[in-house]
Amino acid sequence: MNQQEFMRRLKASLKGVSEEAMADILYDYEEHFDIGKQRGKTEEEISDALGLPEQIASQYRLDQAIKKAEEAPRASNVLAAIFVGMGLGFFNLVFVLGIWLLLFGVLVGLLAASIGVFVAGLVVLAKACVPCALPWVQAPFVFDLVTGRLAGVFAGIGVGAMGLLLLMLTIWLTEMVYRGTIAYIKTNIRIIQKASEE
Amino acid sequence: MITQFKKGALEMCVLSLIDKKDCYGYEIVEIISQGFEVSEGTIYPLLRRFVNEAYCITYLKESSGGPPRKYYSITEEGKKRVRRLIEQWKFFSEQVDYIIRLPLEGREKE
Repeated sequence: MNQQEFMRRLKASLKGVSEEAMADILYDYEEHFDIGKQRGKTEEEISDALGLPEQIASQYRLDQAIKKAEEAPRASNVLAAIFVGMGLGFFNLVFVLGIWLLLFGVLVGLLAASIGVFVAGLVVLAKACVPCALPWVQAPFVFDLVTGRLAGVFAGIGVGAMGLLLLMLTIWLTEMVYRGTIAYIKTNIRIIQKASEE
Repeated sequence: MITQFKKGALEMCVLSLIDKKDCYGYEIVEIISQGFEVSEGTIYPLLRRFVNEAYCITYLKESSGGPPRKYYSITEEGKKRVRRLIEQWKFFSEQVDYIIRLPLEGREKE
């Protein structure tokens, strides 16, 4: 592979990397080829020693994916980091993927539950305040009494607050799971550090 | 496992090179590839990671008869990092040495 071919393949594999970073990365390899040639090496020798441009590019892409997931811990970004890592040969990330999908499912369930509880609280509150509102909801017979309706107001507020609390807990848990996943991917890249830090 | 092991040691070696003096990429690659059987291309992503994590900074410097070269210079943060990595490495290799020697001494006694 000559220099031109190497640079072309490297550039093509760096798709998705910001333009500024791309220019910076490509510069390093241009410089490497230039100095190598100054020292009497052929372009083929230099590119052979460097390795496959696709493999080099995926290291940059993993770093970028991790950085992105750290800055914006969204499900899609975390998933992207896992997949790029798997593509680089960190196959133990397959287990991470499984566990992560499981946790993600639990989190989605929790999210739905907390929203459900919150909405239920609102409905009880509305029904207790204005009995003729929401005609498709049947009011319990105790709402015929003033004390019963008062109890309904408080129950509504209580349940709604519980829903909100559950929602906050879910959001906190989600953040923990995302951070944990990213931290795990990072320690995977530097296994020796983890082994000696324990 | 072996390749991941190597990657960890690689980080320590590259940082300790930059710790001794400011280096340009080719210089680092040349030294590292003498001791490690790595694709030389893996060193530049590592250098970029160091810059991103503020372990080192880069600057361009004119070279005699050629385009300017990008030099890597270690930061305080990087110095701290490399000191810790070396400390851990020494501890780890001492433990390994100790265990490797154990059965040998046992056999000599018999």
